Amino acid sequence: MKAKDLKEIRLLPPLAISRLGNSPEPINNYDLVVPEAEPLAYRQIVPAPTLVVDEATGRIAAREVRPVTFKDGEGRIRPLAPFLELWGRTSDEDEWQHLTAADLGGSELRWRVRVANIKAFRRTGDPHDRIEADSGWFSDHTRRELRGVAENFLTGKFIPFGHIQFIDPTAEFPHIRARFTPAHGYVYGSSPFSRNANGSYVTTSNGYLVPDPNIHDVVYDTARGKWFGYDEVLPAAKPQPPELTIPPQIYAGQSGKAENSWVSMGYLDDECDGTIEVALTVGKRELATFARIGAGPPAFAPDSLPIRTVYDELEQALLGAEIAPDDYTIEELQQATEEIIRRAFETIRLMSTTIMNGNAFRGQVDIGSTMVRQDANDAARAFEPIMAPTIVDNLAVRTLHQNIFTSIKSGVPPWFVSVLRKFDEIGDLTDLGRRKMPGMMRNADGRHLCLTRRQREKIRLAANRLVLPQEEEKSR
Amino acid sequence: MKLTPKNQTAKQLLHRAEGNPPSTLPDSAIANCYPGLEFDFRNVWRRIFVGIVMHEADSYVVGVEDARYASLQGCRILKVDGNDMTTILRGPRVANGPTVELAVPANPDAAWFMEWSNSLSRVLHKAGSTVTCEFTAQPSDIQRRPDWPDTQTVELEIRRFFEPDSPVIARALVDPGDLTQSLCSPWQNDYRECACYYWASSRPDYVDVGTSSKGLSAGFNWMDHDRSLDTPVDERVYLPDPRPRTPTDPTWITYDQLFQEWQTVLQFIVGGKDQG
Amino acid sequence: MRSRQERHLQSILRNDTTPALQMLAKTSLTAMPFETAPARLSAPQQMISPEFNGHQYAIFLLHVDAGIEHALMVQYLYAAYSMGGPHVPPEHAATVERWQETILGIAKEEMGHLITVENVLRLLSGPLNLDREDFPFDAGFYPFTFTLERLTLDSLAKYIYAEMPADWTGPLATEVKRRAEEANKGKPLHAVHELFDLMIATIADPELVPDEYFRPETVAQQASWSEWGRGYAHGARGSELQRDQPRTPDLIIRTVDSRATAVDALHAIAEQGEATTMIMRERSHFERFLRIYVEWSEILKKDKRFDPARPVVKNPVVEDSLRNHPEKISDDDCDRNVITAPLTFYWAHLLNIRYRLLLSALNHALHLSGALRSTKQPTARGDVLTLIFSEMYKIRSLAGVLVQLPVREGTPPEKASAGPPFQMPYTLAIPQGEDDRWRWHRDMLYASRKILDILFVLEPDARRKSYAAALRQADVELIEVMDRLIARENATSEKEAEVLS
Repeated sequence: MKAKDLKEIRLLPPLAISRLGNSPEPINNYDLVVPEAEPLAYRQIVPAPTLVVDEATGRIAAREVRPVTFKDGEGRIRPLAPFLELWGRTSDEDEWQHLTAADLGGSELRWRVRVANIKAFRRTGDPHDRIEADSGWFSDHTRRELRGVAENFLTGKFIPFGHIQFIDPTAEFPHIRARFTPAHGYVYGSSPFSRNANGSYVTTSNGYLVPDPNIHDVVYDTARGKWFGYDEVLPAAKPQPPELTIPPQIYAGQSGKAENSWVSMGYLDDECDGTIEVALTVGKRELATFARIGAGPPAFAPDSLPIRTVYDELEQALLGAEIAPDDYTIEELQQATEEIIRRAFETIRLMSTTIMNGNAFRGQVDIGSTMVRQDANDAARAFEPIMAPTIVDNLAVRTLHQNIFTSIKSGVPPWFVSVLRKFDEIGDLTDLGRRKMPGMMRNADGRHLCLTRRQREKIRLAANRLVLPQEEEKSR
Repeated sequence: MKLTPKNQTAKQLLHRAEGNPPSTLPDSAIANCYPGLEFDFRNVWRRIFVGIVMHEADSYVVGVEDARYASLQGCRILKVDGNDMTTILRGPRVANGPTVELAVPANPDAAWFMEWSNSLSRVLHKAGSTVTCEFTAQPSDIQRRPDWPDTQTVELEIRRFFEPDSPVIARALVDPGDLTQSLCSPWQNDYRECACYYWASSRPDYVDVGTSSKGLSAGFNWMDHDRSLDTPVDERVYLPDPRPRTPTDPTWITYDQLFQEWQTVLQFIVGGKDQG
Repeated sequence: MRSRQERHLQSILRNDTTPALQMLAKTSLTAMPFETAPARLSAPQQMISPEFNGHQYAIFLLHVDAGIEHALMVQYLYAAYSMGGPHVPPEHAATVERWQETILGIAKEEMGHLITVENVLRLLSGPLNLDREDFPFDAGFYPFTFTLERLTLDSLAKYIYAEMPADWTGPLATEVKRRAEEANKGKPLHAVHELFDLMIATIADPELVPDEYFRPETVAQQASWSEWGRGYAHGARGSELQRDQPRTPDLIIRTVDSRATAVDALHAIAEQGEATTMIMRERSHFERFLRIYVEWSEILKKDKRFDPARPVVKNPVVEDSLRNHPEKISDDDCDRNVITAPLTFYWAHLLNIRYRLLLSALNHALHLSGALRSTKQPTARGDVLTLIFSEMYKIRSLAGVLVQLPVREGTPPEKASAGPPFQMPYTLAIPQGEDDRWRWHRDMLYASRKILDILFVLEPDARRKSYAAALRQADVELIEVMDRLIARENATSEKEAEVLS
């Protein structure tokens, strides 16, 4: 392939997730594998070839299978640092290939990363509270720190959002890729000493100031910005002020003078999201593309996956909620159904179902933050457990779901489509409505969780087409 | 599967770049549920209508970017292309009582806004063209029922979700920082008590679970300091988090610890058990 | 067993009642002074066997009905599982699928009826009954000859007959009744409503069953919708594969605490079957079966060869060992077809074990003792209920496997396939102690395990092999739970023994 033949370039994956950690060693690569003879077991974390980057040279030093641990020898969490690969195609056909240095001979390649953390801005509305990092365009292989700065920061201060490095292709590893390494996961603040909600300093009995132990560094200038002291007041028996986040008051704070107030302590974190851009100049032509990256906390149960994921959202946005007849084979629909049920019991396995159901605990009721409580709080619905209290022990719920999974494996058409909550049934807080699936969990709108319409449709179609397999054969 | 360009594009979303563990992929990230962990993915919907900015989780118009739509500021969206955006909460006030509309002082209409993602999946294919949208005629702090009579109707363009022929979320839809903006600050802030566990698979809740002699599960709360796999299964108890009543109870990982030393106090759970 | 019941059901079977019996019945029942007895006796009073009082008679009728509900459920399930297959033309695919969902829905409702009838038995302090006649056998008081068979217009006509309201007339009624009678080989058919009329009249009559026989304190021991409904109610379940499918009715699982609630529950069941009112009509079993019949007849007018079901044999059974010389496949209602294809043999035995386990778990759930009766917090009660639902799923899966497998070697499943044998266990009794009950269930899992090991090796189909692996693993986890429960019960009884000594 020659660079001048390229029609389009693309960065893959289009949305890469990184996860915070303060170890200098990122997580080694692994696969999640369900053991063949034990289909109900946890996914096994099986070490897979890891690309070892020499940060000084920006070259890949080795490709080797290494043991997988999520904390290093010193107890620090290993960050998850994704590679992003540059792919290209030379025709309109969907024939993409991972580009190498040789492919790009004679062209000029540039990268740029822009990430931001605007959590404070989302609350205060002050544009000077936007914390942004911009690597500027670069073509070399130096590891670049992404320094998050804001107008309202103290002079010279920044929050490190991690690093970007354009990997230097070598004869052994000729492919074009970059690596994003997220931040360490520290809390930054507005004051070296603890302060009260009214702004006064906390003092010891003999008058000394108390250092704020939570802060890694003081970056925010309280003289310029209002993030410290920002207050969301929720008037009783009134709707919450409509511009607030839902839920509101989800920042580190303390009660203030007003009733139901929550005064910000001015804390910030080093999460971010943004874009990684590539521009390729071939002669007079420029090809450009970008991908998105985000930095979140680790997945603390790495062998389990959530029921409704960002992928499901993107897939539905891309392909629609309806499924065209030849979008999937029966086998693919069955696998999709199996995967959803597997994720359901993976979630259940790690969830205290008796508490989430609203069961009493040692005689106390309303003991946890549950959907039962939410329904009572938001709508004054009768406070009562969602399912019969006797049948919701984790073991029973898990077993039931595992048996549904097992049945699906036999090739039986899924029979439970109608108990999967539809997104427009969230207002149904009757016993029957609340017992629909997925159960006991919260949805984007604050009511009980639903699958995406497309997920649900996959299950419905799996049911539909399994009954009459010839439809499938004829459609092929 | 027939490889249409579109589902080929969808497959690229799950492309495992060489050396990338599976947790780098979007199918390991909590979705458009309540504010997730990696993103509050609801933010993708704020700019879905060209010219106005919506609340990421509500029917509320938070901003107007095109003066033609000035009258929408602070109003509530009721219908998009004929589809209701809110529904009515119904259920019993008392156990075994009749099903009634569940109005409360903060929500006198008993109306509830339904999530963007599934609602708008009905119109996303119309991106680039306009759809008829119905709003309340007046700004409203209160959620309104779908048949609210006093309305205004405007034609709004649906913004493209993705870059053309690409699986990347469109530049115009989401700016850097947008996807994480409504998460907790810092992210640890609601970590203890936000227990509506759509996210158990990344923020485990019930761990070291075994089968007790009662034929029931027995395990610990992940936030419980005093847990050990050496404890006989029958003696393991899941203690519900007492916060906010006793936020500094030493049984629990405290918020100060979560801010300062979360990397030490939070343990990875593999196979349902603390990884030693 | 049949004759033991039939002799007390002469009134239904022959419709003749002698005045002498009336007298006897009346006096033995109420012990009223002869001269104060009303001049005209109510219908049930005329029918009571001289060997019963009214309370006993009510229990007897409920007992009989439980057997019928169970039998109907199994036959409907068999018919539903037989449907579909590669030979159904694509233009009828959606219709057949809808029919299958309809019949599965009806079968589930029969299960609800059975559970509710057990609740009424519990309310009246009667023994519970999970038994039914094994097949094949003649009708007697059952609606029609018990036959496990694929769905045909003939079998459908029998189902319609069983569920029909008393006043159903017209040309279609004549056709269906005639077809049903022919299909039943001229043996008498019975509509279920005959039994229900009698049952309701008996229980509603305070002279026959005085107030003190109704024991509201048994509600805690009854099966509730909360625990048993699993969200399958109010028309929700299984009816959505077709978007335009009208919603199917409620799954009736009612707890009963009085004469009024018991009569009400029995009325609801009767309604769900035959639909005596127009409002319920859409949703009745009768109407739903009839709609299939009419639609099917329409399709046949255009496509004579249309057949919605696979070639599933009648009354399949497995024996303990494999025969060398298999018999010919029989299409007679009264014959059994012995499964002799080796792979099918194992899957069929597996189904029988799981069916037995389901029935013993059901029995266990209806007879919980001690702490397991608590409805406040999870106990092993949840394990028993989960076991029931898990086994129902398994039976569905295993039936799905069996209808695709040959009944005998050399005959491909496209010509004659197996189906779920549903052979009744030798006993339905379960041991007394909780620990012994778990041992009882566990033994079946051990038996299952042996078969699954064989299937994991023998089964050439990747999906079925993977299913066998999943089943085996699920059983391992289940056995672990049962081990725990048995160990605990042992420890508890040892402690009790110490105290006693």
